Amino acid sequence: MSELRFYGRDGGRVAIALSFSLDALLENYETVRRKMIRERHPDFTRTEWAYLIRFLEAGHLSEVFHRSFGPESGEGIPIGLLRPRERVGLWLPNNVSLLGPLAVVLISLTGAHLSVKIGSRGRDLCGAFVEYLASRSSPGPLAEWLRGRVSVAVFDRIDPRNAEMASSSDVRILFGGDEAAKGIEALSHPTSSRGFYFTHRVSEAWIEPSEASRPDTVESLVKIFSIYGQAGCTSPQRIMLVGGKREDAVDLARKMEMAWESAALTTVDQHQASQNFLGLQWARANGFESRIVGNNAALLVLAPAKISFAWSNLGIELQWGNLEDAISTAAPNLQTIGYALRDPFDTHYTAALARSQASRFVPLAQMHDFGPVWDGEEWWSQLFTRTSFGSG
Amino acid sequence: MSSWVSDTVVYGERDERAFLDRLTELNELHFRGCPAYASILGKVPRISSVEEAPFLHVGLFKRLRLITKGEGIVHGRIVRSSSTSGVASEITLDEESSRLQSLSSLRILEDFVGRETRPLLVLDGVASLRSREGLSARVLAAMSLKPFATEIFFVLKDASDAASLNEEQIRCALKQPGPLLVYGISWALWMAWANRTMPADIESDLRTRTITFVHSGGWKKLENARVDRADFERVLLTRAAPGSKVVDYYGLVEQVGMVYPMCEFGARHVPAWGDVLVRDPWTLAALPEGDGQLQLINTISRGAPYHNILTEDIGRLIPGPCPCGRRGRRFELIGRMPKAELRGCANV
Repeated sequence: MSELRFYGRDGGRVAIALSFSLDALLENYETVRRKMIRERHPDFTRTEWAYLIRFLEAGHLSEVFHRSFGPESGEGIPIGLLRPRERVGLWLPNNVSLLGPLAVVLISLTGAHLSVKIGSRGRDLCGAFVEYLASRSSPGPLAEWLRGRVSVAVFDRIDPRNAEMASSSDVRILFGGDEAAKGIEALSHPTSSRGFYFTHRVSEAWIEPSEASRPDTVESLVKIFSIYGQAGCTSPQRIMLVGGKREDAVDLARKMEMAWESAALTTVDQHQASQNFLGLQWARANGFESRIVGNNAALLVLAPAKISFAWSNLGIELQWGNLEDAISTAAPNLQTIGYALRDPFDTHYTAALARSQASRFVPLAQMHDFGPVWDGEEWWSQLFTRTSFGSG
Repeated sequence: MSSWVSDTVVYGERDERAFLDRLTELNELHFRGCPAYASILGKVPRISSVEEAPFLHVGLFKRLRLITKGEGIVHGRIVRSSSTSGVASEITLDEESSRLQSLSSLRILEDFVGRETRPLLVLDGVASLRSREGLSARVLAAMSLKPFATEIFFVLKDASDAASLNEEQIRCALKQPGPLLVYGISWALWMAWANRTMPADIESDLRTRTITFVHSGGWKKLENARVDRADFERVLLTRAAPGSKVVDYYGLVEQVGMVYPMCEFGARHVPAWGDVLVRDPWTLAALPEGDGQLQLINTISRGAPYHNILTEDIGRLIPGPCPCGRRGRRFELIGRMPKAELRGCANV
């Protein structure tokens, strides 16, 4: 069954041609979601599973269309017709977390043929989730898409299947290192195809001292950092207390310490606990004030604004300085700035952002939210080709 | 100081007060002479038990070159660990500690391999001795057996190639009658000696010799090759005369001179000039029982603060006396601390 859906208003309306019923697809996802609430796939952590459950809500998935094309509207005269590109190739690295499953879900909303390449090392969350979806979905467009249009394969970066995927894909999406991205882009691919390469980026949190005293700020910080620590591209690599002093950092560290046990989303394994203790001693040997929180669960290092340093995977620097310090010491591959600021849209923040490489500026709690725009790229809307309608 | 090591029964009762005093003296020595150590500790520690003594994480020696300066401390060569991660630990030796460490390993090893001297065959290349990058932990381990050797034969042509056995060197060693001592890291001993065919003349000669095989190093590669300890020892002893034995010892480059051979009852015994604790990885509390991180303590390290190290090896203390008759603390080494997969995006 195919359908036309209309989005946008007031001269911006577009028609989208889908090869399936979107409502039926969303209903299929809801069926799976209800099962997910009662059971957890063992390969996923509780946090990851809870995130997936929220991600699959029909309202959230519908929002992907709205954010890309505007609110759903009734039939009317469109200015363009959008058709999904036929084939998408998705390259995932070994350690990619939820980004694989999340990208698969978003791509399913277009109905495109999807080939997924999984790294040959590390646990394959994407393949596991595709299998889980297939085993739990009711008859309908989701089951049909998974059965007929999705393939997941494990191979390494020198495998000839990379070239086959690149040459047959209308869209190439890669999460991975810079070298992997260059390698895929160098492969022969259709001239009309699109390539989206989400490579190594880092993120940070900007907090004003007055906001740092709010319990929800502290709780958000602990939650977003504790999931992946330094390994997550959307996890803060440092916390920048904008306009703050050492005393503010000490105070925030104390609050994070108190909040850690109740707010942290993961427990650390013994090796990470050991690495945090190592990081503590390493930082102190280098003259930095530092402290452990929880039972070696994380490491907090206090420093004036500087290029941040990863003392351990679950170690984070609490830095202080003015806005100029924040900009001048930000990482060149900055992706997301998560904020807790009184007025984040104040002109001086906008002007500062203009001088940074940040591609996302979002409230702290939204740092890990994955969506149709990523790293500043409107990748999801470009899974469609456009036929423009003109009056002349 | 050497009398502490030379005059004490290796595996006997320990004078706890004297041990604590030596540990306190070392803590203060390193606090005064090593700025990084002082920065980590913050203040001179006052301790009333071994458990309270401050310890450094073993990984610090991969990240920092820690040196303690002080009157009478003369630094010498640097010893580097073998590394699977690409980053080696570095320990700066000093004259007095080196002397104590040699004495320590001699006294420990003679308890397991006996005092007699015999040809020592080392499964390594002679070029390893001449490395400009400092002394490797592997060579240091082999050299700890030097006091038991009439002559040393390096029996690999290429240290990095276990297949490059130098058969002529073995024949030279076999010209000397009597027992033999063979040392190699566990994987090399398996690949270069146990799991290969020897020329018939060497094979038949070896079967008449009483051989003490000494090996150290991890079991990871052997586990991957599905070789367990029983197989390992059985195959080695097949190519040796009755009365031969295999001695597996545990040691770290960050604990030079302190080796922990496994006794015939599977325990590793702690010499009187050292101690071993087990700590909970999360709380760092000392655990009288159960598995945890091994903390290795010695009282013979003056040139750098490697006298009290928290390792990333997992072990447990074994209660009660050992049937082997050795006294003092003993423990079981379980293996390396497992690493969970780090999940992230693209940057690991």
